[in-house]
Amino acid sequence: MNGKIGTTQAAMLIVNTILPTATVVLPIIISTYAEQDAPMAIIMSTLAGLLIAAIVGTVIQNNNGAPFLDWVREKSSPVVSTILGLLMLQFYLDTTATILREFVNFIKDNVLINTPVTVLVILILFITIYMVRQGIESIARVNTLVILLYFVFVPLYLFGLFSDLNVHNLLPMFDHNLAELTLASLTPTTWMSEVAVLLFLAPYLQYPQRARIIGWTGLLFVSVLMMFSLITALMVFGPDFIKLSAYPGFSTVGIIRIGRFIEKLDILFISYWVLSIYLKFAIFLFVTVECFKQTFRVSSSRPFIGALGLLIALECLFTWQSSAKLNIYNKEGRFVVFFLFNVLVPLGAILLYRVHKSRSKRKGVET
Amino acid sequence: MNTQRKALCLILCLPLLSALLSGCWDDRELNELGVTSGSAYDWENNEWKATYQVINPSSGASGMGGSGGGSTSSPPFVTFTVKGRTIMEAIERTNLTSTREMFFSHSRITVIGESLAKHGINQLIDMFLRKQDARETVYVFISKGEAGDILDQLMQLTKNQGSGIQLMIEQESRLLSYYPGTRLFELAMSLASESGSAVLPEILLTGPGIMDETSETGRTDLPSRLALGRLGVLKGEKFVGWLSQKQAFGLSFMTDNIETATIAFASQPRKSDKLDASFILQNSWTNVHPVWAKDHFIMDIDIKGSGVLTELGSVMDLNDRKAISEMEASLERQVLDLVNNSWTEVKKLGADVTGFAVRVHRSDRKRWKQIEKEKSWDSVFQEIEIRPHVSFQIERTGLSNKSFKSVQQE
Amino acid sequence: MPQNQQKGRKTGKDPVETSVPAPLPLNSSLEVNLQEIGKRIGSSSDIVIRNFTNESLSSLSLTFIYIDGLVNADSVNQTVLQPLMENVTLKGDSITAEAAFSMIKDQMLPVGGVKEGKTLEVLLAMLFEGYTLILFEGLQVALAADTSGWEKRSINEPTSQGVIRGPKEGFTESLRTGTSMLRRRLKTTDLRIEEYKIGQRTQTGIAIIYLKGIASEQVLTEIRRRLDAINTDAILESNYIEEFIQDGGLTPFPTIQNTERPDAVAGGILEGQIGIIIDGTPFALLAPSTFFNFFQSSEDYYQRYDISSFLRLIRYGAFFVSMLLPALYIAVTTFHQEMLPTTLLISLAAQREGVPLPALAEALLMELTFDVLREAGVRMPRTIGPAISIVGALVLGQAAVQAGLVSAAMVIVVSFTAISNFVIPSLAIANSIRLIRFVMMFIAASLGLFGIMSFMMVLLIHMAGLRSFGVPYLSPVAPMIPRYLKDIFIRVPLWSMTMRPKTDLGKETRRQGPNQKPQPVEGANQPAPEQPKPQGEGPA
Repeated sequence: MNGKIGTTQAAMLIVNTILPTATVVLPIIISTYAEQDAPMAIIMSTLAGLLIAAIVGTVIQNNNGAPFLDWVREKSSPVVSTILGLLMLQFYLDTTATILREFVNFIKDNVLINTPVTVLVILILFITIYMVRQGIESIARVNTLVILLYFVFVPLYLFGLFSDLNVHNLLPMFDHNLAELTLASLTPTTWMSEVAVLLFLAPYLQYPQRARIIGWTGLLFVSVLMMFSLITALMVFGPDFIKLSAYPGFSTVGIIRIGRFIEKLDILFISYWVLSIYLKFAIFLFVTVECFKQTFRVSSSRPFIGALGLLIALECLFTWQSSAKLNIYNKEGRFVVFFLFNVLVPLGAILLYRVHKSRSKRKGVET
Repeated sequence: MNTQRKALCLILCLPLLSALLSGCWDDRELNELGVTSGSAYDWENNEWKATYQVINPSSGASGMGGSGGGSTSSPPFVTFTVKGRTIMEAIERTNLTSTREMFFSHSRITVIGESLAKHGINQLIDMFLRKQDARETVYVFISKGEAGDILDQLMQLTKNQGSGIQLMIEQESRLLSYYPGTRLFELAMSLASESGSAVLPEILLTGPGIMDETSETGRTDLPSRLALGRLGVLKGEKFVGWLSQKQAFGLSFMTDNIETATIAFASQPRKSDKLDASFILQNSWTNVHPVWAKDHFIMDIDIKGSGVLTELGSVMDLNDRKAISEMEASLERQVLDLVNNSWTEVKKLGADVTGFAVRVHRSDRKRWKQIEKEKSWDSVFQEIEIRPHVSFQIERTGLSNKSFKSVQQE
Repeated sequence: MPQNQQKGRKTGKDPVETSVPAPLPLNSSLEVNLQEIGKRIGSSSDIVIRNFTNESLSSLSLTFIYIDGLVNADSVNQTVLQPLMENVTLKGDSITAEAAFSMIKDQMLPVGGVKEGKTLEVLLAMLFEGYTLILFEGLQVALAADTSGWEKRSINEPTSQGVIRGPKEGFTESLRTGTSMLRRRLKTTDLRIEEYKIGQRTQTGIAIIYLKGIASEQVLTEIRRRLDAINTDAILESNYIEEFIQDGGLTPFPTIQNTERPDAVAGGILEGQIGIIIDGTPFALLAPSTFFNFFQSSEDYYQRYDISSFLRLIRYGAFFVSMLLPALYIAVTTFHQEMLPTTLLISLAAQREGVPLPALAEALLMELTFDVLREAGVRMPRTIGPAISIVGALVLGQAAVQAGLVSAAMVIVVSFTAISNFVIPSLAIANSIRLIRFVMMFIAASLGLFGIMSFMMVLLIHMAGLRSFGVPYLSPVAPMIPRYLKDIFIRVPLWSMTMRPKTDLGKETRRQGPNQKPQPVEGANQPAPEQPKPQGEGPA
C-alpha cells in the first residue's frame, strides 16, 4: 500500500500537520505577547516558516526523494546517520507524545471530563495505528477530504458570528515594539517549522522536486487559516478577553447563535477538530515510524508501529502528566528543540551535500 | 497472513470495546438532569448564596405561551437556594436537596444581587469562564434587593422564566434601546478592557409580593411583575451606582448601542416645550473621536440618525419643509440633553462605561501608554469634556400629511 | 493453486476433488458407451434414451439421449427425430458409419448448434445443457444437437429496483436472455461476451461482458484471473461470485454492484465497468465499483438533471442519517445536552420521564425490533403480509410509547432511520450501514460525539485504503479528481458530460461531441448550422 502522494495532497498534509494544534494553542500564546498585533506575529512567523520550508525543500531536491537517513549514511558515515537517527527518533517521539497529550487534554477539558485519560489514549492510539497501517496514501486522501470539510464550517462560523464581529477590536495596530513581536512570533515559528516532516515524507512524494512548493503552499494555507481564526477571535472578544480563554477559537464558536435555536455550536467544531487532530497525530506517528525504519534499517515497519505507539502512549501518560509542564514546554522549550531539529538538521544536510559535491568534484579533477 | 493478523487485531480490539461499553463515564440521561434556566447570586454573611431555577419538564414548561397558564398544578420550575463559602461548594450542596444533577448549559440569565455586586463579582465571572458546562452567553442582570427573589416569580405567557427574561431584554434592546443586554462574556470583556467598567440592566419586581404559586398566575393583571429597571454601573468588579433609564438612554447614544428607539419631543419648540410628538429612530450611528486639547481630552461625539414620525399632537402641515427642519432641530436638542445629562451622571460615578479609554487607546496610543504607566486614567477621565453633535433626519412622516389636530381646527 | 483455495475448509474430504473423474474417451461400441453413461448418471426418470435404426442408413444403429424438461420436445421431434427417421434418400447402398456421421452432421440436422464430442464428459456436460446426444455404433465420436428449451420465467419488471421512468424489464434467470438484452442495447462491434463455467457440480454459466477499448485491460485481466481461480462446487447466485472475487476481505462495504436492470448494466459497461451475468439468477454484477456508484440510480439519467441532482443529494443525506441518526441522538441526549435548543431539551426530558431504560438500551431495543419486523416482513407469506404491518405499527408506534417502554422521540428517530435506509438505491450498501449503525450506537453511548468522530475516522481511513479491482474506493473524491465530479454528488446535464469519467483505470475517452448544449440558432433568418449528430448513447 505504499502509494505515492501527489503534490496537492502533500501540501494539504502539511496544512494538517501544523494547523490543528496551532489553532488551539497558538492564539493564547501569541496574544499574551502581541495582543491585537497578533496577526503581525503570524506574518512574521510565516516568513520564517517559508524560509525553513525552502531549506527543507532544498534538501529533498538534493537527495531527490531518497530516504533522508539513508542518504545521510551514504554521504557521510553510518555512525553519523545512526546517531542522528536516534536523536531524531527521540525528538519525534517527544513531539508525537505532546501532540497526543494536547489532544487528550483538549478532549478532557471540553467534552469528556470524567473519562479516564488512559482509555482515551488507548482508543486514540488504536485508531491512529490503524490509520498508519493503512499507509500514507490513505491518510493523505482522508486528509484532503477533511480539509475540504473546512469550507463547510467557515460560512457557518462567519454567518453565526456576523453580528458580533467588531473591526475596532483590531485597533490600534502596531502597538507593540519589534522585540515583543519577535517574542510572540517565536512559538508560531516552531509550529511552522513542523514543515520539516517533509524530510521523512519525501520517499512517498510523487514529485520530490516540488518539495519546496509543497512546503510553501502548505504554510501559506496554514497562515491564511490561522489569520482567519485569530482575527475573528480578536474581532469578537478583543485583545484583553482573549488572554483569559484557554481555547479562544472554540470560545468564539461558543457564542455563535443562529436564529433562536442554533446555539452552542462548539461541540460541532470540536468534532471537526477531532478529525484533523487525528490526522495530525497519524502523520507524526507515521513520521516517527519512518524515522525508526530508516535509523534501524528495517525493511518493514509494520510490526514496530504498535511498539512505537505504546512508547508514545507511555510518554504521554507519564512524562506529560501535568499540563503546566506542557505549557512551559510549549512556551519555552519547544523553540530550541524545534529549531535544532527542524532548521539545523536540514541546514546541516545542505552543508553536507555541498561539501560532498565539492569534494567529489575535486576528486574528479584530480583523477 | 494478512487476514489472520487482522483477525488478531480484531480480537485485541474486543476487550477495548467491552471496556468502552462497561464504562460510560460522562453520560447523563436526560431524566437525571436538572436543567437550570437561570441562576441568582447574593452575598450574605460572608457566604455565597446561590439560587437556581430548575425547569420541571413534566409541567410542559417548554411551551412558549403555555397551555392554560396556571391550570396545571405543578409549577413550571422549582428553585433551590443554597449557601457555601465558594460558588461551586454552594452548587454541589444542591445535591443535598435535589434529586437531579444541576446542568447549567441551558441557563439564560444570571441575576446578581446588589449585595454581591458591592462585594465584587470577579470570582463569579471566573467560574463562568472556567466551568465547562457554564454558558458565557447568559444575560446578566442586577437586582436591588435579594436576587434570589427574582427567580421565584412566575411569568405569564411563558413558563420558562429564564428564557422569558432573555426575550424581554432582547426585545428591549431591539425596540427600545435604553440599554443593550449584557451577556456574561461582554461583561467580562468590558471589565477586562481599558475602561474597566461595565453596565448591567436592573431587573425588579413591580409589586411588593412574589407571585410564586401557579394558581396566582391565573389572573389577568398580576399585582407584581418582572420588569427591567435602571442600569447598574460596575467599576472594577464592584457596583458603584445607578443610571436612570433616561440616563441609560443617553449612554446608549454615546456608545452606539441604538437599534431602534422612540423619542418624544416638542414638535413646535418655539411655541411650547410640551413633548407632543414621537419619532422612531430607525438608523443611528455614533462616532466618538478623542482630541487632545493641551491638558485634557475632548470627545467629539457625532450622532447621526434617521427615522419616521409616528405621532403628532400639534397643528402642523408636514408638506412644509421648514416645519420638518424645526422638528429635527427639536429632536436633536432632545437627544443632546439626554447625552449631556447622562454624561454628568457617568462623570459623577467616575466609571468609564462610555468606553472612552478604549477610544483613546485606539486613536492615541502614545498618550495612552503614558496614562497607563501613570495609572492616571481616573483623573484624566474626570477632565474629559464631551462635544456631542447630533444630526437627525425625519425621512418619512407616516401615512398622513397633516396632523389630525390641524384638520379638526379647520 | 487449488491447495490455496482449500485452505479454509475444515472437512477432510474435499467434495470438489472427488467429483472430477478422468476424462473418458468414447468407446467404439455403442453398448459400452451406453453402459458407461448409465453408470455415470444412473437411471434418473427424466433421462430419455432411445435406440433406433434406419434402414436407409444401412441399419446403422443410433442412440438418442436427451433430458426431458431441458429440451424442447417439439424441437427434438422436428429437428432430430423426424429428419433421421423419415429420410430415405439413401437407398440400399450400404455406407460406412463415418460417411453416415458426416452426412447426418452436415446435411440432415436442421438445427443451429450441432457439436461433436469425443469424451463422455464433454457429451454429458452438453446433455445437461439441453442438447440431444446422438451416439453411433462403431464410432468414437458423437453428435450433440442443440435442442435446449426449458421452462423460463418471462421477462418481468425488476422487483427490487423499480423506476418511475425508464425501461421496465429486468434480467431473468437465463444467462442467454441476459446477454441478449445487453446485445440489444449495445449494438456495437466492441461488445465482448466471454463465457465461463464455474462450479464443479453446478457448472453454472457465467458471462463477463465489456466494451473492448473502454473497459480497462488491467481490470479485465484481474477479473479473469480471479474467476479462473474460483474452485468450488456450486455457484447458485451472483453473491457466490461476488464473495469469491471482491477485494477487501474484512470490509463491511461492497466493492461490486449488483443490479437486476439491464439498462443499469449497459450504462455501467459504457463507462468502462465490466458486467458479470450469472446463469440462474436475475442479479448481474458490475465491477469495479466505487463507493459513489452505489448512490447512482439508473433513473438519475432518465430524469431531468436538476431533480436528479437533488435526489442524489438526498440519498447522501439519507445515507448519513441512516448510519448516524440513532448514534447522534444517543450522543446528544446523554453527552451533549447543551447542543439541543432548550425547548427541545425540555420536551425530550419530559418524554423520558417515565422511560425506565437508558437511551442506548432504548435505541437498541427499537432498532432490533425494527430489524426483526423487517426480516419477518420478508419471510412472511404474502397473505399474512398486512398483519405484520399492523403489528409493526403498534410495536414501533404509539402503543410502545403509551406503554412507557420508549419515548416518542426515539420512535421518530428509529422510524426515520429505517425509512432513510430504503432511500439508498443499492441494497448492498444499505445493508452494510445497517451493521455499522449498531457499532456507532455503542460508541456514541460510551464516548459521545468524540466516539462517533473517532469511528468516522476509522471508516474514512478504511474506505480510503479500500480498492475495487485496483480502483480506489473513494475516487474521484479521495484522491480528488475535480473534473470527474460531474456525476458524483450532483448530475450535470448530459450534454456537458463529454468525457467518460475515469472511475476505473480505463482510458479517458470522449463519449460525445463537444458543444452539445441545445441552443437556438443566432440570427433567425440565417440557415441553421449543421446539427450535431445525435449519438445513440445508452444511460451513462
